[in-house]
Amino acid sequence: MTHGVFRHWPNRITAIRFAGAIVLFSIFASWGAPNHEAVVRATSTKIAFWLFVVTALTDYLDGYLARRDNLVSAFGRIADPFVDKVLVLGSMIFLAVMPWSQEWFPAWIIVVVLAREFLVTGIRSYVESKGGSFAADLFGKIKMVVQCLAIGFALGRISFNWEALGIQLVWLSWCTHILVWATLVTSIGSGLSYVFKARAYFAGDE
Amino acid sequence: MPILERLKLAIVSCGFLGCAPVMPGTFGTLGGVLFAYLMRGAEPFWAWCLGLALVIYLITRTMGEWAEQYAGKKDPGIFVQDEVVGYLVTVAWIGEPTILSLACAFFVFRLFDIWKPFPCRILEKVGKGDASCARPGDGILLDDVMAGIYGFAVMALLRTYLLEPSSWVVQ
Repeated sequence: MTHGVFRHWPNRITAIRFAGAIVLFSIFASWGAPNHEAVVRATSTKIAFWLFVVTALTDYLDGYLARRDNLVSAFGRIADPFVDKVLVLGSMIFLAVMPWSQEWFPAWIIVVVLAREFLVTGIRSYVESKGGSFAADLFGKIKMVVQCLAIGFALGRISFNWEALGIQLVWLSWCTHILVWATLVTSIGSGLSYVFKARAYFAGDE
Repeated sequence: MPILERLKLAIVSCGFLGCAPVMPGTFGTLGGVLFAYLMRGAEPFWAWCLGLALVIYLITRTMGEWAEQYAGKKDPGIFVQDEVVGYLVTVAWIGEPTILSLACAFFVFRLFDIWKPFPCRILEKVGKGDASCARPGDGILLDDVMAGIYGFAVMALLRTYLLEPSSWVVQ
């Protein structure tokens, strides 16, 4: 692999993150339809939690290294957001169908988040086809952070013995509820901000 | 290849690990993992790690020019003793060197080695000028030593909160 898209570390990191997401989903899939007792503080739960944390935290790293070392590539520009969306939306879909986590992740919220992604992708490809630039803005980045926190809290809550540290599980439950609702709000908000930004392109186009 | 050249190559590439066609740095770090694993019974572990790191540093800093000439470029991939030294710094204070803690340190060190946070990229340039007493080998090694110090800090935190069984909140 001394040639091609995996010659440098940014794209390798993207590929490793994708593999991490696949392993995470395999763990979820291997659980089947577990209830709370089946997954709480299980070894596979802890592995899933740390895998998600590392995969989510390295989101920033590949893009940062690519820009710093002038290694920005077409592959990275397509693959990096692709991996982010697979990781976050895939995790949220699994959390929406597993009985232990359904309480925090109502399916309709996932549908709204998915719809927002499709809309923004559509607007982005149109704006860029017209020669405009359509980089992710601060609102979109906040949305990503909130989504990752929501998933992290849901997995972290069942991974460790928080009560031994003096942290009530009910607090973590409320934090997860709030973060999932914040996911909904930031998804709609950042989606609308993209729509307003792209209005200039629609106005002149009959 | 003359026997002396072959021996030098074996040393800088940590037993030819650095000659791996893909990701030599990652394979080279595995040499560090092997050293750390072999020293797992040594007391005190931190002194053995830092001592071995120092010995490897002093031996290989003199071979930087040779490796750059041999590979025909700066900071050549075959020179992986910098990764070994950096890894040994990372694992110096992990407490009990278990498979889990050594594997964890492997990923932590590779992260900082690839990331090269400040001041790694300044240290890379050490020894490039004529006026200093530093050699090109120092430039190759020092940025990884710095990455190792970052790794050391992260592993110290992980040891305190995660890897040390007595403080492990998981039951």
